[in-house]
Amino acid sequence: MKNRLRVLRAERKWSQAELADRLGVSRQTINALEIEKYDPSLPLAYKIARLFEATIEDIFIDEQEP
Amino acid sequence: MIFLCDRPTKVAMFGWIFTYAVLVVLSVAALHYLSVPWLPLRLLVALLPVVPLFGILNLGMRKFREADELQKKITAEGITFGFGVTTIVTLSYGFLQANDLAPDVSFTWVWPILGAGWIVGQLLARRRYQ
Repeated sequence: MKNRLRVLRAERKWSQAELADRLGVSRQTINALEIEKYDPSLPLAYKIARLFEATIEDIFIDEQEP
Repeated sequence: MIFLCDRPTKVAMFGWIFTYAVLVVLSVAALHYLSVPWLPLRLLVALLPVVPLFGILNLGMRKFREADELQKKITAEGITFGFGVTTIVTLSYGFLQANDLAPDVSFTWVWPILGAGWIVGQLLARRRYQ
């Protein structure tokens, strides 16, 4: 699943470690999300959306959507 | 997971492993060099090294619960791989043993096989998300 996480993080000038701290996950998880090797669980997706004051759909792009 | 954990966990882990090593030496030495005639006491002394393993189990479970969702996924994949490898290796050896094609070996070899399989599985799983 594609996402805008790296762009949103760069806009706020946060490091991966800083974003990981804010979300309560490891830096490895942030990296895996940014390179789109891992899709987050629904609770983590909501947490990310809340942190960036956006909706899940604004951040994560479902490529299977018609 | 435990290899990449924080310093206090590494220190606690080292403490439990050190205690385990000391108790293995003491237990083996006591049963080998001292005369322990009473069977229940012999059993107790033989199983003494198992006590710190409960500490390692507790530590491992706590770290697993504290891990985030991707770390849990990687750990689960690593353990699944290790479990599968251990099953294949021990069953294969068991078949050879049952047909007198391999010598008897100690049950304690199961853990190194499981541990090695887990480490390899963990590294393979980690690579998938890098």
